[in-house]
Amino acid sequence: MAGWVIAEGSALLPGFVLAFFWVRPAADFASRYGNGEIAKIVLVHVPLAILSFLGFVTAGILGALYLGKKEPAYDDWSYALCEAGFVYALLATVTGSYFSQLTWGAWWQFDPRQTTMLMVLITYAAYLIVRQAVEDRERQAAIGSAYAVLGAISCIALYFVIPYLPAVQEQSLHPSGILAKGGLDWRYRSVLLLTTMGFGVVYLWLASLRVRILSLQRRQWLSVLFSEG
Amino acid sequence: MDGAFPFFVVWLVTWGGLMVYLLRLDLQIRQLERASQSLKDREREEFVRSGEDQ
Repeated sequence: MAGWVIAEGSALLPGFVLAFFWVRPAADFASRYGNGEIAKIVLVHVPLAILSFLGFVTAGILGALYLGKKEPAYDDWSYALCEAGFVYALLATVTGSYFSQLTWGAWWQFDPRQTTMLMVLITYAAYLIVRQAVEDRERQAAIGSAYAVLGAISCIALYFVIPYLPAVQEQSLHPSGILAKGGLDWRYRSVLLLTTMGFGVVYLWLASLRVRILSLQRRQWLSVLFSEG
Repeated sequence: MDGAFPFFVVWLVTWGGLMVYLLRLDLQIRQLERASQSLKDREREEFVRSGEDQ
């Protein structure tokens, strides 16, 4: 267990230390919300959201490859990326909700961003449940892959189309515009890159562990099948 | 330093959440490896026993 703690720590700790001691409180956030330090939440929340999106889209591409080539490895990675992506999206929602409480005084207020993220979570929670519900392995992989493709298409809409519609943006309090307009200095941008890489390494590591589990389960299932036969 | 508390909380929750997921995966791997080892041992025992019978 100590090994896991050290490994996860070494991937994420440099970003945390720099964010905590080197990055300065953001003036824009200080004037808007009274505490410039809360801008640092961006350094955790944004990588989680971006990586979950990239994971879901890659899972969709791998799902499409499985449907075309019927190679189990594609479905294994598709499933692993969806599961880890769900964890990342959940953590992005929790950290976003805490930011909402600090800035707007409410944990949840159905801001368009919060609503679309909730829809992403429901979509992938259903994916994980549907997969578990099917017992036949080939059907499980086929249904899972088809779902991953549809999920990826809906993700593009939920992450990057609906939140940016002018009518939706008018209602949203989400501070994504501050980052886009360069409201955070170069220290934020460099640490954001570092934390995104750190969380990215952890994402791939978690997904590879799930792939290893699936491969062990398949080997076990095959040996039981042969010993029975 | 009080102002930095929210960021510390966010980091701790995220790190803890990922660690819980990681340990869950690790536990599953250990259980599967143990099961696979005991399956191999049983097969080896059966093989030896069948050789002795002959």
